[in-house]
Amino acid sequence: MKSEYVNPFVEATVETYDTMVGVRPQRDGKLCRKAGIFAAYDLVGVLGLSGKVCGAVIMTTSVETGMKVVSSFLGEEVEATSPDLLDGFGELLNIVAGSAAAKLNGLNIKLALPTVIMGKEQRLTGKENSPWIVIPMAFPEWGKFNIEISMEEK
Amino acid sequence: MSINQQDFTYVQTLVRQKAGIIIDDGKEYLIELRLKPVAIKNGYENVSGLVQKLKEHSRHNGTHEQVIEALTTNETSFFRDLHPFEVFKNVIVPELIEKNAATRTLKIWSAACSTGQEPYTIAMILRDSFPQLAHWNVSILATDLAGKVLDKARSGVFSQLEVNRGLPALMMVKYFDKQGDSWIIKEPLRKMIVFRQLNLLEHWSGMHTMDIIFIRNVLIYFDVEAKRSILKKVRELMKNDSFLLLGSTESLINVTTDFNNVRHDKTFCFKRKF
Amino acid sequence: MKVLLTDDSTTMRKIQKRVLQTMGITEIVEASDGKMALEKLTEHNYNFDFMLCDINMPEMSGIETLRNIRSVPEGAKLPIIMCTSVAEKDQVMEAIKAGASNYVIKPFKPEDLQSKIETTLQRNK
Repeated sequence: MKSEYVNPFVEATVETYDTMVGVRPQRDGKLCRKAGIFAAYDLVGVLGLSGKVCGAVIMTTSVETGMKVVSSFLGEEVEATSPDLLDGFGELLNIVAGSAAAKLNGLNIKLALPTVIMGKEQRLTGKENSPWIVIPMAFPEWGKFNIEISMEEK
Repeated sequence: MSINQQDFTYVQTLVRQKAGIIIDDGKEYLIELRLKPVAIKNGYENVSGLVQKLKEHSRHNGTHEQVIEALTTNETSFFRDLHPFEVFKNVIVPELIEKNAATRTLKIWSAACSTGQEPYTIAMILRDSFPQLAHWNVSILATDLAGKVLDKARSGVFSQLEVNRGLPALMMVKYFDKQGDSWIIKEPLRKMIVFRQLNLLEHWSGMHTMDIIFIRNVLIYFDVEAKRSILKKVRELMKNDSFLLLGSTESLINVTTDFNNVRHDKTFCFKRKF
Repeated sequence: MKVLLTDDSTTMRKIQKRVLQTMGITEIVEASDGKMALEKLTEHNYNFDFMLCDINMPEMSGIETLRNIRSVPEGAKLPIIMCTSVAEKDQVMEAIKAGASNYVIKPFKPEDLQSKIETTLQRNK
């Protein structure tokens, strides 16, 4: 995956959270390349990408952080058991992906609908020839999260 | 999580008294949204804590300034308030086309143009609704104090957020090109505008008479003496048929009696008294 | 005023509802996709003051929903504001051609959504 893809996703993430949630997250450490089986946080949102590319974008964080984020997004407290938690997280991912797609407009990226799952000890798998690029990020007070991208031009 | 009525009223009053900005009832969420970051920065968990501090320190201090700043910046928008631009399109320009038929010139000034949304709005309306002006000598002068802001305005490049604010979709499509997530005003419209630095408080050099002057939402930042001095200079640039447009919540009452008030629906425009 | 909100995200609908409630609008009907939107419109005789509509939805996309609404006389004048994360100019053009009254790109600031609704209604008068 090209390194030029990383920054648009980071910018999209920062702008989305800044505009709709009122916080500015930052990058938090080096990028990593993950293939094989690797751990994710308990809350995982996945959104497939097509168009001139093939791949997906993931946003993943702890349930605690997710609750704080979605509560702020919604303007009301969200419990771990609330369907709003998964829905809100998915909608934020949808907006981040849309914004990144706009920045990468030469790639004609089409977005699928997001899927969000929650559970302990999540595992993701990446293929050796199309690994996940993991971008560690963090909110100023709420905790860490990752944006993970696997995307190849067709 | 929402701000309570007492706190809202306090902030509403503070901003009106200190900055002349009117925040309408019903905009509680706006105050909540804009002040939350200020609250956090000052070590408070929520806006109520911040407001408490404001009340305790009744003298102006840095916190008051921060609050006003958070509530008054970022207001610039395409087609801001809409109705003045409807009046511009439906009344002002048609009237001036008639009056200036002999000279076929139209001179418009957007003062304190900031990042350019106002002059570009003017350009779009002229382009869109007045094709006959293509054969006229139309000049749009856009000025601001800050050079950096003018550079951005000149570039005609706007973010998704800026385009989301006030710009009708039809205009987006007709008059902008897209590059990445930036929306760029098309060249013919950029060419219609001359951007120049101008300090409203200092002596204005090289200014000619104007047919339409927009000084919207900038006089609020000045005290009465400064307002009077600026409006005196503005008056000198106006002819019989010239129009002056201020911000929707601004008035000239207790400032000057040099202008006549012309009202169209919700919009007040001003003409020079001779 | 009575408004129809169409978006497959319950969260997004809640956020839009808050904006509408701040505007003093309390009669809010919700749909989670285009098909449901059309059902609600028929159910209420197209008697809405305006409609917010997402584009990427299951069952029926926002553009298709838009075309369907504009194809019937009752739906010709309804102010419809698209609210979507898709920001491509082609998509905006497609929406306008299909009859959209305005277009809001996500992410948006709540006050900007409110402002766009207000100006769309003003223009529509």
